Amino acid sequence: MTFAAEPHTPRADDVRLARAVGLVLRGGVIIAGALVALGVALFLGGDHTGSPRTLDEATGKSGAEFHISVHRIWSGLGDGSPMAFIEVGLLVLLLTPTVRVAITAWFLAAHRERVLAWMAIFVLGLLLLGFIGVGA
Amino acid sequence: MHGIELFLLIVFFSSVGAGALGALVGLGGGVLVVPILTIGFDIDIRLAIGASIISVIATSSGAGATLVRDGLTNVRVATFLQVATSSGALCGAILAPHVATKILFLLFGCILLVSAVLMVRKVANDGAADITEDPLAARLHLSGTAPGPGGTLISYPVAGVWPGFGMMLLAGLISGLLGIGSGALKVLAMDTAMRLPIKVSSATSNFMIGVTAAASAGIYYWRGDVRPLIAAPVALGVLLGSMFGAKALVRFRSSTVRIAFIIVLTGVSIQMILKGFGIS
Repeated sequence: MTFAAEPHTPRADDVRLARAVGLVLRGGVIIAGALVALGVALFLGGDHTGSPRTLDEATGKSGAEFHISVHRIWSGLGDGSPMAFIEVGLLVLLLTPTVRVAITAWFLAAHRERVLAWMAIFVLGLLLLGFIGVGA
Repeated sequence: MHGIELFLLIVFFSSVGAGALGALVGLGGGVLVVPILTIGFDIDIRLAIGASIISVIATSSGAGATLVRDGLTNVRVATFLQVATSSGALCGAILAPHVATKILFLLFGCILLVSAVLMVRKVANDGAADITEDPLAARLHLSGTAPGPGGTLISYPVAGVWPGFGMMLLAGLISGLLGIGSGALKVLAMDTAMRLPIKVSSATSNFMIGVTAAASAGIYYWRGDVRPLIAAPVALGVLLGSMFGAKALVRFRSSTVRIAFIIVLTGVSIQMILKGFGIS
């Protein structure tokens, strides 16, 4: 089949999928950006609870150990630690592409595009393995 | 102003620039963030890569939201090719400890340099050619439409599906090995093998690099390589910059985008080759 450049109408399904995916990306970016910005604002405002004290400590040059865990982030949120807000924001950012792939898989399955839906589910599986830190 | 505050400010504004350029040419911005942090601030490359991975996801998501809405991204092509990039990234992460990084830098730098030379030859004759649709692209409805001149929608076919898939496996492999988005190789695969319009290639690459990076970002995060006060200004700056870059992409001519891409490609390839020789 040969194509020439000509005006064309996009598939209605594609427009709906693009809208849903755009919404997920925008939502993820806004939530992640707001949480990270809140953490930075709290830090710049002088709240240094659970935060590095020096530039060397912040940039890993002090050689101090840095551990991250769900428990540490959770308790940090309870203490209102700026670092905990940043870490949760970064986690939301990490999850955004994964949710986007999940929405695409669901949309394609709902529209009986089986081959592409299975492809999206396969990718989703790989992303979830990465998110839980398999191999970290 | 104290050291940390000044650091946050400089990294933020540098990241705005990296994000804008990254979104404009379809790169993740990671290849620009790593030199900024390692050369500019003498930060450990592992931590720079941790922040870079976050910046790749931020660019992809920030620009992707705008580009999907504007109709430049081909979500079907992205869904198909992500199978290759994610699998490649997984293999790359497994192989990483067994391959000398310097060989990878040299190889990648050379591939990009050759790509830049090939693209220079294409600037003069952009678009216009008749392209035959790949039968698999027809079966999976991969061919699509994109905004053309004067607000019209132009249909375009997708060719060379399997060569494009193969190149994406390589792009994913390199992404997993080096911790970058491999946007340059993704744009090249869609542009030269699959014959997509350059703007669609750039937008779809932007869309895909977030997924490729997300596959390995969790590992960096839980390993402790994503430091909050390095990643925060990078993420916020790149997010803002990528939104500017994505808006500019819709307005710029294809040839302008291609020339910008060639310039960035050449710069990145030289940077990679120098790193391969141990010069930074």
